[in-house]
Amino acid sequence: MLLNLSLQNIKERKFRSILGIISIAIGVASIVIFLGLSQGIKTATFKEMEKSSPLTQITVHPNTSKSGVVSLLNTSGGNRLDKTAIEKISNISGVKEVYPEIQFNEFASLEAGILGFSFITDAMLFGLPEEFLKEDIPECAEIPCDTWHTNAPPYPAIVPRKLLDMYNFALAIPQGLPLLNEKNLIGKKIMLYPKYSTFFPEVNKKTEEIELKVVGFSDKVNLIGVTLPYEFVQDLNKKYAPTSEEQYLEFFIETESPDLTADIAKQIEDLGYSANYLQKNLQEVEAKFKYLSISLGIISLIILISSTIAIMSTFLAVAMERKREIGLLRAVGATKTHIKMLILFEAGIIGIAGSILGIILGGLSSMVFDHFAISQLSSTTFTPTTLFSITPLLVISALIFGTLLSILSAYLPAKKAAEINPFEALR
Amino acid sequence: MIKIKNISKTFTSGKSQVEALTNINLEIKEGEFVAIVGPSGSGKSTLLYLLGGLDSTTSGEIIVNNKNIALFSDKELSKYRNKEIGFIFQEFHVEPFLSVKENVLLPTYFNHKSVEDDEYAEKLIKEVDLSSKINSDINTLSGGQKQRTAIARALINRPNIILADEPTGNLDIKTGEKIISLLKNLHKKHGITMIIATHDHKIAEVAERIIKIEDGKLCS
Repeated sequence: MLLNLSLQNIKERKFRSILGIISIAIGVASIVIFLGLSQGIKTATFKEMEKSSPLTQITVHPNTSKSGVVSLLNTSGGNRLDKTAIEKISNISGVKEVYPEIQFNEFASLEAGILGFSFITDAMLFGLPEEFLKEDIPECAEIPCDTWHTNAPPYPAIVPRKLLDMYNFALAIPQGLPLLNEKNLIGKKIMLYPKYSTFFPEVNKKTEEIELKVVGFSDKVNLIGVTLPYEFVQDLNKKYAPTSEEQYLEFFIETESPDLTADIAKQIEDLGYSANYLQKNLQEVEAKFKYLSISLGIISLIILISSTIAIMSTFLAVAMERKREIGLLRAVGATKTHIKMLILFEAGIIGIAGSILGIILGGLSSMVFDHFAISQLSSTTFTPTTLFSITPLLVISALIFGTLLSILSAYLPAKKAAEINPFEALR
Repeated sequence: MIKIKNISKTFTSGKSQVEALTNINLEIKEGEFVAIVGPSGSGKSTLLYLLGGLDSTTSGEIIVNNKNIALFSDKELSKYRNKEIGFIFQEFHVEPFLSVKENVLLPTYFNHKSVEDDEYAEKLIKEVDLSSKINSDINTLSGGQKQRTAIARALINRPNIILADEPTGNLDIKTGEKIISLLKNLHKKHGITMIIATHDHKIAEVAERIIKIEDGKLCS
């Protein structure tokens, strides 16, 4: 019956009820948008990180904290990445495969014709086992995968995906040049000039040109150059840098299961190497995301405080307006608790209605913002399907929170209404 | 039986104190029809509201059915108002967004409403001659019809005492007479103690006993 009275009151005082519903809706919509955005960016970032480093992958470097940067460059010292290291790591239980990465130990330049222009630039060449690279280029459309290791040109070249972003944002957009995407570049021929530099005059003579072909893009490969099949870079080293010591830049370890990754990484660290893996990086990223969540949370809190004040003042005004009605209810037997409940029921109904409206508004605003943001990101390699993560848990939490907020905001006015002296109210 | 023992009521108005009732002593028998008569501001409404437990006395005792209501907690007072008292006000005080029947049933909302209440409400509405308006919007009713709704509402919980504060004050003479006649008939039929506060001596004449009050003091 009290609920019936509350509903009737809401119906009778439409304008004030709508104001209350809007106040709650704004607060709840802000929660949905900000928490959804915070969680969505986090999820999208984690997915992006997973592309370059799956849950079953560990990247191993010489332990720079022990040997120092100079030691790393010289690859001297006890924890260098060599064949013994591969053997030691391969023997760890749960390690499925060890993929070593090497680099061409001489100058090299690449020449390519893009958008009607011919570019020539110094570049680093990296070598990775084809089994590791092929995961990112499953179709092998340009050069059949089974012929990668042959010594016939053109040789397959894999370009870091982030390089496209760097070109598009640092060069194309400021200079007004056309944007590039993966489709533009796959199949493109590149000329490789080993032992040739555009910077240093002593090696400024092209001795040989080798034809490469862009076969795909990867998030795993080294950002500062082009990656080629391991054997090909090995051959280049034998020919152009025969005196250089065979050394590895880093290892990519594939584990048998994501559950084993952390344990294997620990064992690798115990061997004196530095080991990075997604779960460890995620923890660090998650810690950094806390700042984003806190910032967005503070904005939501400010909006919520404003909503609370608005609801409180609305209900205070309603309580004063209804002095006579409250007096009558007291005269016919309502207790102070009944009066409180009457106001709180109304607040609850307004809270539920406002929360539902807020969730719908928040969801729609997120969709609009998401559509705009994703279309802006389409020219980059960071292409999440959504930047928002509006989960059922978030929706239910927002509904409960909005309703409770409305009830709590109305508590003081309800208490005040319950204290109204019926004698004074009815005279 | 109602026993009022030496009650006083003082109101605070700004910095000054206003004595609304001074040392009132009174006894009202069960089933008696009493009219409290006095000019405006004499304290008759205050006395009625104190009897109904809508306000507390400054001093003295109000004994209703051997219980001093001045000692009641808020919850006990609410129960007392709900069960023992039926109020009729000068300004009707009907809920504007409820129908006639819902208004009549209003006190039952705070007293575990039952199916019997529904039937009794319909019976009372018939008694006050509003059957044709039972589900009507209360706002479409005339002043007299609203007051009849309020009378039915006052009776719904089968109270022992009806307190009517200037029940015809907002009605024209003819409608007022009809309301008084209705109250008299209901008093006879239900045997309820009826206490009416009025400044109109003509209305007071229908009562079995007239109590005069002036400046917060009983005159007879």
